[in-house]
Amino acid sequence: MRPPGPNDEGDSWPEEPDEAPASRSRLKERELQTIRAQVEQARTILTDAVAKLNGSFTTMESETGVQREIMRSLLARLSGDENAPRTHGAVGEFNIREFAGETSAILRSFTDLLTSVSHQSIRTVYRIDDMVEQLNGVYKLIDGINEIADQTFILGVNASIEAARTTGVSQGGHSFSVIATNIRELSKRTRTFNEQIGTQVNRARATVNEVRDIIATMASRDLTLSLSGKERIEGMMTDLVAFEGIISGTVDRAQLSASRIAVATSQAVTALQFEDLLNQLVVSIQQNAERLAGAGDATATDREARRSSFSEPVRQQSMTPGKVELF
Amino acid sequence: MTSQVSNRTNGRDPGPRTRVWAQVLGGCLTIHVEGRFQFDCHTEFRRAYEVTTEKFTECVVDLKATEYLDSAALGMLLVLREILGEGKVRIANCQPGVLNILKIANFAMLFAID
Repeated sequence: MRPPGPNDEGDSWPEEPDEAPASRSRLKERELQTIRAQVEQARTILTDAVAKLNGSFTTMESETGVQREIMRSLLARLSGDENAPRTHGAVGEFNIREFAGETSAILRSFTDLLTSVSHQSIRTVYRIDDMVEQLNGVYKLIDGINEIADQTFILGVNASIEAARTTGVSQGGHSFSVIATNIRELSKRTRTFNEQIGTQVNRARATVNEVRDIIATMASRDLTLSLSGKERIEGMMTDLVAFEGIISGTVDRAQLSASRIAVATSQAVTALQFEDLLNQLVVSIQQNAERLAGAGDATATDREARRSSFSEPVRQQSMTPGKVELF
Repeated sequence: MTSQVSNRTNGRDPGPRTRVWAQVLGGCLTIHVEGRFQFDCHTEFRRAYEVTTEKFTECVVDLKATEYLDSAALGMLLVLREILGEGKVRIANCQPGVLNILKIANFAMLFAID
């Protein structure tokens, strides 16, 4: 097949050579068939290309719509809009502001707990100190009782001596001696009993001191790590909220860009209507060629008239589309 | 009145010595804590406001010479506030590190801090 070439003769109508009409007619018929085939090929190529372009642009358009919807829901979720569509899964439920708020509340309750434990521990330690003081008081009382026991013992000894002196002098001396011995025994028992109380109080004091040490360990916490950790986390939360702002701005810009792509794509789809116009032009070229083939015997005047009557199916000179609003 | 007591280490990490002393001037009891304000000085700190015989209507805890405080110190301050009443205790002259701990512990809501 011969490739379509430019028409060298332009608008000027060629002078007909003086040849036999039959051979001229065959030549014309051959040329005409070539033109028909080429026109048909051009139309097929055009239609295929336009169909594919149309498909691509339509897909682009719908995909930018999907993009914009994704970004819109992301923006809504970032800004904490409760009506924002939620996707399933943990990431879908994530909201930076909410997260920062909850973390801050947890940190506050952690600090409150820490200070509350310190407060109660010191209160308890003070009460334990008071208790130790009271146990020391018990010790003093025991000392007092011991003194009494000692005096009682001495009294018993003195009574025994008195009893020995009076034994034989009177009958009552022997009975007095028995009572004096009993007094000594009683004072000894009091002392033993006191020692037992003292041991018991000592044990109680040791236990109380142990408890105090346990509470002391609980109360004496180095705050530098835990509290500065709280400070760091709070700083991170502030950064995270700021980062959310950056994300929002970026998504905003991406959304604007997607909108512009959508507009451009819809303009491209409109521009693809050039297929119709070109098809009509090509068909008209073919018709003109047919007429040319049938104009063998015409006079120059007739030719001129026919030439001016050649149809001009498409007057549009450019493909500048009108404004199209798809959204 | 000036009461003064040395700290007991109670068998734990002694660290540098802490000195707690107090004085009453014009109805204001000022408690000074020098060194490490931590558990070991709890008895001294308590005595500083319980032993005094002079009358006072407000209390200042001066932390000018306090280089460190632990959670027990927070507890002691809270007990002091509990005993003397809200708005009666002021914490003064904090070093930056000490001030930071007090602020993070939300003490600014419980005490006047300067």
